[in-house]
Amino acid sequence: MATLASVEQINKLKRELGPRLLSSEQVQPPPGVPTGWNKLDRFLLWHGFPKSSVSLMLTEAGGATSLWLRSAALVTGHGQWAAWVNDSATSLTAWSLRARGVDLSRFLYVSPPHDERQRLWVLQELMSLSLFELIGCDLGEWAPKDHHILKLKSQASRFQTSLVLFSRKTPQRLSSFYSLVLHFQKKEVCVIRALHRPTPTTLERSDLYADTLPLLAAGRRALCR
Amino acid sequence: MRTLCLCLQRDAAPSVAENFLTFSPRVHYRAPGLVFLDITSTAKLFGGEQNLMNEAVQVSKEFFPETVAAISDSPWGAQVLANEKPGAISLPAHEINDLSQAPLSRLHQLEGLIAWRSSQEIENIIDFFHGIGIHRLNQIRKFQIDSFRERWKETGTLVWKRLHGLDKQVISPLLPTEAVQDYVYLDFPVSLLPFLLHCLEQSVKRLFARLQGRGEYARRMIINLFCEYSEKVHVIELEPASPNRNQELFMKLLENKLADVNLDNPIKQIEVEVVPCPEKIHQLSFFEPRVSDREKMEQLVSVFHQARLTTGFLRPQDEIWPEDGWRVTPEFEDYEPIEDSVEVEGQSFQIRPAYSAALNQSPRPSRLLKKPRALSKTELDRLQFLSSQPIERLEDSWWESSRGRDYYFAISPKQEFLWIFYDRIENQYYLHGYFD
Repeated sequence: MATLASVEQINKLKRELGPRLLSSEQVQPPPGVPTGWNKLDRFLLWHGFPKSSVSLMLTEAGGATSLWLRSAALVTGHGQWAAWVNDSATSLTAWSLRARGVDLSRFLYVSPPHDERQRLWVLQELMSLSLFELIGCDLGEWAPKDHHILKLKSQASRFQTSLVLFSRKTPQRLSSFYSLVLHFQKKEVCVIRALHRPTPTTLERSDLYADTLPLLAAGRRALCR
Repeated sequence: MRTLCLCLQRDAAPSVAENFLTFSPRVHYRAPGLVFLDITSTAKLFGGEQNLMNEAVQVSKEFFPETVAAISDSPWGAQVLANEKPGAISLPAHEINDLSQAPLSRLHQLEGLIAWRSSQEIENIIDFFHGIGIHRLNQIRKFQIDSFRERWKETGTLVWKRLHGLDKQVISPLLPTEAVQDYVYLDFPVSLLPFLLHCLEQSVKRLFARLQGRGEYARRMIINLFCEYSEKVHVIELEPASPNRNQELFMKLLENKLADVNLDNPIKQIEVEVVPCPEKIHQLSFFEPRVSDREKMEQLVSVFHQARLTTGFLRPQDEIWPEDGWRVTPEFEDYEPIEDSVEVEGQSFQIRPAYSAALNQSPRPSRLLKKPRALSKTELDRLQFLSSQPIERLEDSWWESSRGRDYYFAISPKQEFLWIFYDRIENQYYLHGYFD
């Protein structure tokens, strides 16, 4: 139980330090680009993919592209720009982008770079334009080294871009320069690294496909006509 | 006629006159380093003669830092004023008064568009008047024209006429016909990329200033780098996605190209040629940024295009085969889904159904394989098909050797959501994409 003296002490401290304290509205989390997956956005400090940083999505069982496309739809829907650097094995389809509500007039597509050096150059050029809010890049088989990621991170930080890398291969050692690492596993999504959050944390991924099912149903209706 | 005279203070190529076409279509260059502009009708567009002169001097100082200028009623008057009182503007019909106190030595500059036949003749005139105690221009104006003619013939007549404002000089419109080219000879051959880029930057700057005056954009730039030995020449061609006059972009494209050029054989001479085209003129809104997103995008597409990367906007296409279902365009093209059309002729009408209209609503995977991958029997056995009947059957025109595909959804052992088709000719299952 607080004594009268201690209450007075607290009131005195409040009077002295009160003006220096910041209100909760003034304390803003670091900026992020929302993914549209509420469960994940609520969990992360940035409420989405971190801006001015590099994120990695390890996609073992799929789902990473859908998540990124959701985010791209939100970004382009606000009149901002998103860019995608393709891999040589697979290609994003314009129809799926359209179906997910991505504004194609604000979405730049870049064909697969010829080698790793060019891939880095492409990413740097995209970021240096100070135009793109969100950049996605499929790394394919390439595992970037620490100094590559550090360079990309410095660029992302300078130009306030959210850079999201996709990899199908789990690297032997995860670079500490990634701000966010998500691993898409069979039944859940594992948050391997996230600033100021307990990691690893697993999130059920069943609702990730939630937007795919209506798409299939609509397609089925269209085909049955 | 109101005339602006720019004294560049050193000799230049006649094509430098093109830099000033933005201020007036009537521009004349006279060696050594004098540019005359008829600004009678254009001064008000720039907010007055003073503003126009300031802007023109600013443009000139980019390449000729010691430029001086003046405005007067005649080209010779403006030339004298530019040397006597740099930056001065003689009010209309005040030219003779403004020049009256100028020393006799200014007769050398009383030339305008047509230079004196010989400077010695003018020197003789000045010496003569100095000899009889006359030192100012207004003092010799009192003499008759016959006195000038008898003593100094045609030159004397011309001096008298100019002193009295009676020699009429007209500045004709300048039609730029010279090729947009620049040539640089390097005393010390260059084999270091930064130095070479610096030399090229100056050339590009000069050419772009001319383009600006001509109201043109650069469609293509061809650069010949002549090496010191073996008569080797590197030819570099730059072609942006759309014509523009963005020096930064061209330097970037150039830097990227030069990175692949071997400079062991040093560069001795440089020749830069620009293939121009008329510029697009559009009114910018006051609230619109000077460099729009579109312009930034065009620059980026040009840079990537040069690096042989297909870059642009995805545009869906109404094609049956999924792999042909879109293309990449350098500029955004809107997609309008096809719909049934109705044709009305007199009392009758006909409905023309769009058979492929449903295609744009059919499910398509987010990732499509560049080439469908044949699935082995073992791989197939491990897949879990979501339906026994095909979800979609795609059939091309029978006369185009159709293969016929039956599409299925399947789940892989890793829980990947797959898009698979059965080729009815080959009797073979293929993996075609992922609902990733």
